[in-house]
Amino acid sequence: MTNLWKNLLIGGFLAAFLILLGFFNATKPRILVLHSAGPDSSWARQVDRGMDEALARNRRPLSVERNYLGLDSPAAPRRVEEARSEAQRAVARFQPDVLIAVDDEANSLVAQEYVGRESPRILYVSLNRPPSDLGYVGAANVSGIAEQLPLAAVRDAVMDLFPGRAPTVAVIGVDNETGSAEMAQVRAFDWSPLSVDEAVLVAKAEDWRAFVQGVAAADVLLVLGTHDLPGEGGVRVTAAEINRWTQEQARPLPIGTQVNFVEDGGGLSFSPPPEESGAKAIGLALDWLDARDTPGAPAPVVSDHFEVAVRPAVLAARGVVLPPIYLEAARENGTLFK
Amino acid sequence: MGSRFFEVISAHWPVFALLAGLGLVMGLIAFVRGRRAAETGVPGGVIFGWGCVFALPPLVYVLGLASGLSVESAIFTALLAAAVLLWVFGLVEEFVPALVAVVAALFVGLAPAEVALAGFASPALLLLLGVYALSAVISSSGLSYRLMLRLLLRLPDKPVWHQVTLLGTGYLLSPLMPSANARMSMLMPVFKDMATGLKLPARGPALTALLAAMFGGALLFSPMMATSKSSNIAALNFLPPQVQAEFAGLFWLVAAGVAALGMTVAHLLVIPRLFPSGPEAPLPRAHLERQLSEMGPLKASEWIAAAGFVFFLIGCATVTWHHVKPSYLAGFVLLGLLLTGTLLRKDFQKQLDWPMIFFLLGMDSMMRIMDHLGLAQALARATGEVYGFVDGRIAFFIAASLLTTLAVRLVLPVTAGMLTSAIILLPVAAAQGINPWICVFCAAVFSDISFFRHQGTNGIMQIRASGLFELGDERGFLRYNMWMNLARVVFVFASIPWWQWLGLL
Repeated sequence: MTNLWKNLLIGGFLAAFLILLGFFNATKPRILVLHSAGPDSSWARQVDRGMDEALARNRRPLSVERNYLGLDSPAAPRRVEEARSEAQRAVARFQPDVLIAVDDEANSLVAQEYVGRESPRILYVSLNRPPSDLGYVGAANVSGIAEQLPLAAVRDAVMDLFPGRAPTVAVIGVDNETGSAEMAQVRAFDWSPLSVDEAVLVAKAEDWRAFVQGVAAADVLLVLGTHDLPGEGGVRVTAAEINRWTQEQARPLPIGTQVNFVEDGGGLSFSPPPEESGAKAIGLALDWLDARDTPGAPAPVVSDHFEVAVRPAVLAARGVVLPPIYLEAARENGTLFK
Repeated sequence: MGSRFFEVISAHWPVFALLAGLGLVMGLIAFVRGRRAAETGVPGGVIFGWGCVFALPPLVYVLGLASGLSVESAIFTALLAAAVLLWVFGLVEEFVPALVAVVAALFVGLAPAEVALAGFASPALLLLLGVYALSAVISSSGLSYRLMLRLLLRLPDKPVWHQVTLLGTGYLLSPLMPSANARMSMLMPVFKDMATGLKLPARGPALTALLAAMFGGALLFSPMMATSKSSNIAALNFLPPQVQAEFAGLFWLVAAGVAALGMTVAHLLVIPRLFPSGPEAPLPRAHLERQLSEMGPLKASEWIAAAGFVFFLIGCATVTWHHVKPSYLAGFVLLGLLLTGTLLRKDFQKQLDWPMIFFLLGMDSMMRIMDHLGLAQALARATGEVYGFVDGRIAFFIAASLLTTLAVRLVLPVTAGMLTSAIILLPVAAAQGINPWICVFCAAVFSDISFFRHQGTNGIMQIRASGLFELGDERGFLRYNMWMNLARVVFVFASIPWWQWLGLL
C-alpha cells in the first residue's frame, strides 16, 4: 500500500507538473517579431536592442520569437519565396497573438496576408510606405508605427552648411522595397530651396560606385538605407564597406539616413531611431495584449523622431563645420563617434 | 607572405627557441632511454602524430599572423589545428580535442566564459541528457529486446520479415537512441539468436542479408531525425534560432521524408538482389517464447520507458499546441525518469554517454568562440571564394557538400567529420541563399558514407570487432554498403523537388 501510494503521488505530481505548466505555456501571450533584414544587419540589431530593453522591463510572462527574412543579403533575390514560406511556417507553428513586422518587406510579403483575420494582430514598425498601400487602414487587427525619414532635418542642416546658396542634392539607395518606399518619400518631400537633381536606386556595388563618382557636381549626397550588395565576380560587398567607401570617395558631402552610416565611417547622419522604434513596438504590443486599461488596438502612430550621428574628424577633413547643437545632440544620444 | 612569415618568427624568437630547446631535450631523452631500454609497443604513427601536435600548431600560429589574422584569431587557429591533429591521428578519445580547445581558449582569455562555455548552457544540454537517459532506460529495462521478440513472433516466419524486424526495430529506436553503435548493440543479440536458431549457413547470402538488415536498421535512419544521431543534435545548435525552432521537432523527419523513404526502399530492393534467399529452417519460436516468458510481464521501468518514449514523440508532434521546445520536453522526460527512480544516481553516472555529451557541447562552444573572434566570418569569406561556382544552385551545392564531407571523412571520424563539414558548409549555404538545414542534412547523410576500413563508420567497425564478418560474407556486405552509399547520394538529390514543395528552396 505504501509503495502504491508513493508511486501514485509521484505520478500525480508529474502529471500535475506537466498539465499545469503545459497549460500555462500554451496560453501565455506570444509575440513573433518578423524582420525584413538578417540578424547581422545593423538596423535589425538596433531594433532588437530596443525591443530587448522594453522586454527586460516587462514582468508579464511572454513567449517572444524572432524570424529574419534576411532580404538584405546579395543572395536575397533568389530566396524571397523561401524566406516568405519560412516566415509563414513560423507563423503557423508559433501562432503568435501579435506579429510585429519590421520594415516594408516583412509587411508586404508576410504580414499583409493576415489583414482582417482575428489572429494574429499585426503591428507594423518602420514602415516607410503609406499603411493604406497594404490595406492596413481601417483593419481591426492592424496598428503600428509608420516611419518618416527626417528629411526636414536634413534640409535644415544642409542650409546651415551651405549658407546663402541653393545647394543641389543627389540621392542614392538600394533597389528593394524599403529603398523604393524611402525614395518615394524623398521625391514627395518639398526640398525648396534645395534641389534634388539626381536620385537612383541600385542593385550592384559597381552601379553604386559609378553613381557616386558621377555626381561630383552635387553639393550633398543623401545616402538612404544601405545593404550588402553583390560586387564584381559575385563577391559580397558589405554595407559597412559601401558606407566607408562612399564617405571616402564621394565629392559631395555624404549624409546618411541610418545611424550605421556614421558607425561605419561616415561623417553625418539623420536617422529614424531604430532602438526607440523597437521599444515602442513592444510597448504597443504589450498594451494591445493587456485589455484591462486600454481595450482594443492602440492607435497607429507616425514616428517623426530622429537621431543625429556625427563623426567630427571626418567632417573636419572635408572642412565642414557643423553647428554645435548637432554635436551636442549626438553626444547626448551616444552617437558621437571619434 | 614569405618575408612576413620570417618577420613573425623573428619577432617570436624566444618562444620558438624554447620550443626548439624542448624538442631537443625530448629527442635526447628518447634517444638515451631508447638505447638503454629498447622500448617497444608504441606504433610509429602515434609518435609521428604527437610530433605533429607538438610542432605544427606554432607554425599555424605564425602562418596565421603572416596572413593577416589578429593575434587572438591566430592563437585559436593554432588550437584548432592541434584539435584536428589529435582527431586525425586518433591520439586521444574523440571528446578530448574539443575540450582542449575550449579550456585553452579560456586559459588565455580568448573569449569570456559565457561565450566559451555557451554550448554547455544551451537547451541542447537538456536534449542530450534527456535523450541519452531515455535511451539508456529503454535498453537497460529490456523494453527494446522485448519489443523485438514480440515483433519476431507476431510477423510471418519468412526471411524477409526477419530482416524487416531488425530494420524496423532499429528505425523505431532511432528517435530516442542517438547512437548507431548503441542501436547496433541492441540488435546484435537478437541477430545472433536468429542466425543460430534459423541455422543459417556461415558466409551464406541469408546470413549476410540478416547482417545487412541489422546494419541498415542501426544506421540508415541516423540522419533522418534531429535526435537519431548525436551530431545532428549538435549541428542543430549551429543553425540560426529560427531554423532551430522549426527543425527541432518532427519537421526534420518531414523534410527528410523522401530520403528516408527512398533509402528504405533501396535497402529493401538491394538485399534480395544481392543476397537471394533460399529455404530456411523455421524460426526457433519455442526458444524466443521461452525468452519472452522468462522476462515476465512488463516491469514498471519498461512502462515508464515506454511512456517517456511516447510522451517525447507526441510532444514533438504537438509543439504548435503547447509551444514547449523539444529540448525542454526531453528535460521533462529526464525529470520523470529521475523522480520515479527509474534512473538512479549510479545509472545517471554510468549509463549516460558523458564523453559524447561533452564532445558535442564542446564542438558547439568551439563554434561560438570562432564566431566571437570573427574566424567564422573569415571562414565564410574564404569558403565563399572556393564555393563561388555553386551560385545558389542547389544541385551544385549538394555536389559540393558531398565532395567536402567525403574529403573531411577521409581524415576525421563520423561525428567530428559531420560537424566539421557542417562548419565549413554553413557559411556557404548562408551566402548562397540555401536553407542551412539542407546543409546540415547533407553533412549528416554523406558523413555515413564510407569506403575505407580506417574511416570508422558507425556499425562496420562494431561488426568487425564482434567477429560477425567471420559468420557472414564480408565482401557481399561491403557491396551492399556501396549500393547504399550510392542510394544516399541519389535520394538526397531526389529530395530537391520535395524541398521545393515544402518551401525550403
